[in-house]
Formats: sequence, structure tokens, C-alpha cells
Amino acid sequence: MPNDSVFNQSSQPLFTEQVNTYVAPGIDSAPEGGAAKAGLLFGIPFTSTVTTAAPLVIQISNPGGSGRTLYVSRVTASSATAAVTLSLLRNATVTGTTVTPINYNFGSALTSVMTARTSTAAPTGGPATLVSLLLAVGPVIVDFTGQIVVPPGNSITTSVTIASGSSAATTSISWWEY
Amino acid sequence: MPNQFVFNDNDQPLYVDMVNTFQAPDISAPPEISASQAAVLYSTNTSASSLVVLSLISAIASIRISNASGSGKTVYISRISGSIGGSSLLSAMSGSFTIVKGGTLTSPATLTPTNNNLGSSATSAMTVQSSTAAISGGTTLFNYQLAPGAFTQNFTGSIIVPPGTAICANVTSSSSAVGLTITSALGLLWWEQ
Repeated sequence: MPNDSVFNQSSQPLFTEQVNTYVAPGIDSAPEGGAAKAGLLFGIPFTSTVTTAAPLVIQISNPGGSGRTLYVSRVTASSATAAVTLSLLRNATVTGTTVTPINYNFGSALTSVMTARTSTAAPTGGPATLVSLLLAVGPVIVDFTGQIVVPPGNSITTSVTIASGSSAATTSISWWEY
Repeated sequence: MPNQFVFNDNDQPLYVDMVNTFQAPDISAPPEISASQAAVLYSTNTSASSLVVLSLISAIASIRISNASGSGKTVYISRISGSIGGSSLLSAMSGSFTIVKGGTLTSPATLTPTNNNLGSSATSAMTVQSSTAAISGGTTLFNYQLAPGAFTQNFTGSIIVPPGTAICANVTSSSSAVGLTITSALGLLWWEQ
């Protein structure tokens, strides 16, 4: 007679209860830590003066057939005046300068397969809005930690706009891809 | 007949399904806790002040962490903090905060990193410098406009500085309000492994 399974069935995960306490916590980290070790965490910063006619726009576009999926890690923005809005757009149309994503592992030679653009022209194409935040003076960080997934053939766009006047402003987006 | 594998194949990890619930949550902590217990978590800080005498003036604080080739250690950035403040008239000042891949400092002074395990005599393998001038060269990773107060960006190891590379950060505050003393402060936290 064959042996029975000692714990769960051998085709199932082993059910476990983690019994670490505050004295000896389990150490875990965010996916970004592993993505950076793998050389697959990338980012694009953009700094400019925002005016009504000239928003700050970054688009990360995942080309069809790229073989990788993009997971949004973090979006940041900042402004020197109030009444600046940060928006995240799904599948907008952006024409702008192509820029090279920076690998957050400074020793890695891996490059992103995404197409990254910065622009100071408003996105078109009637994109859906994922997030819209009105900023005070100063910086803001929005962590997504993979909450936004961009498969091949899709894009994510950050846009910093101002209703009137102008302001020094910045934005950035970081992501991992595999 | 040989026994079958009791769990997964023995060349595979053991697949587990955690059954903790809100009544008995799993207790976990970020890697910094382990790094500080191992005495490999380091801090460094600098600040700069300027008195506005006649016209627009800036207070500039820059730090560079350089990981020498062959150091045998890799730097994992835990956190970078910047702050700006003034003696009064905070509405009359502005500031910016920049993080740069690579880059160099002008007229640098040596900083000695502090081990976050206060009982440890272990020292950092990095060359850490400060300057009261802006960063030269490098590739900008982040750039922010600051409001008076403190600003922290957590990375938890998601910026990696291997041997032969460097990271710089800068905080600049500016004001033209005569009589105002402005201050920029900057701090970095990292572990080495």
C-alpha cells in the first residue's frame, strides 16, 4: 500500500500559519526590491514649467508583441504653486520626444522594452482617467505597487496641468516589467 | 517501490499557502529591520544655511555616495529625505529636491556615515561626501519642488548602487526676503550587502 500524504495532498500547497511575532518578524519587502535586483525596475522623470497650454506629460507605452507586461510602481509630482492637477490616463495619444528609461539598478545593462515619451502638449484620444489629484505646493508620491497593469498594446500617461498661470513643476513614473 | 515525494518534487521550493487571518495576522517587517540588526544600515546627513542679504540667495546641500569598484558591497537605498525651512516668512521661500544617478560634487567634504545599530563599530565601505554646491553631471532620477517642511521618499532597496557606481542627492532652498535665514537639509539611509 502506498504511503498517504504526510500533510496535505502532495498536489496541493502546504497549508502553513506564519507564527512570527514582533520579537522575530518575518522579513518581507515590496516587489520593487526584487524587480530592482533583477534590473527590471525603470523610471522616467520630467521637469518643466507648466502652463495652461503646456502640461507636463510622460507616456509609457507597451508596444504590441513586446512580450512583457508593465506594472506601475510609483507616480510622483510636485509644484511650486497650488492649483496644479496630476492625472493618470489610460491609453492616451501622446506625441513627444522619445526618452530612455533609467534602470534603477545602476549596474544593470538591461533596457526597457517600453516606449517612453515626454511632451508639453495635452494628450488626445479621449483617454479614461484613472487618478486625478489636486496638488498643494510641494511634492506628492502615489504608490501603486503593481495596482496598474499595462499589457502589450496599451499605455499609461501622467499629466500635470494648471488651470491658469504657470508654475515650476515635476512628474515621474516608475514601473517594473517582465 | 520507492516512496513518492512527500511534498513537491525535491528540486522545487515547498509550495505553501499561508492561512493567517485578521485574528492571527502574519507579522512581517521591512528589510531595514534585519539590516540594522546585522549592523549594515547606515545614515548620513548634511545641511546648509544662508542669510538673505540683498537679493535672491540659495542654500544648497548635496550628498554623494560612491561605491568604489571592487568594494565587494552593493548599496541598497532605503530612504532619501529632504527638508527646507527658514527663520520666518516661509511663504517667501521655495525649494527643490533632486536625486541623480552618478554625478559628482564640487569641493566635497567627507562625511562619516552613522551605523543605525548604535552599539556597532562596523563602518560603511562607501565614500560619502557632502557639498554646498549643486550636483554636476549624472542622470536625474527624481526632481521635486518643495514646500517648507520635510519630504521623504522610501525606496526599500529599489535603487541599487553596485561597485563602480554612485548616487547623488541635492536639496536647494531659495529666497529673496531680506533678513531671512534659509536652511536646506538632506539625509540618506541605505544598507550594504
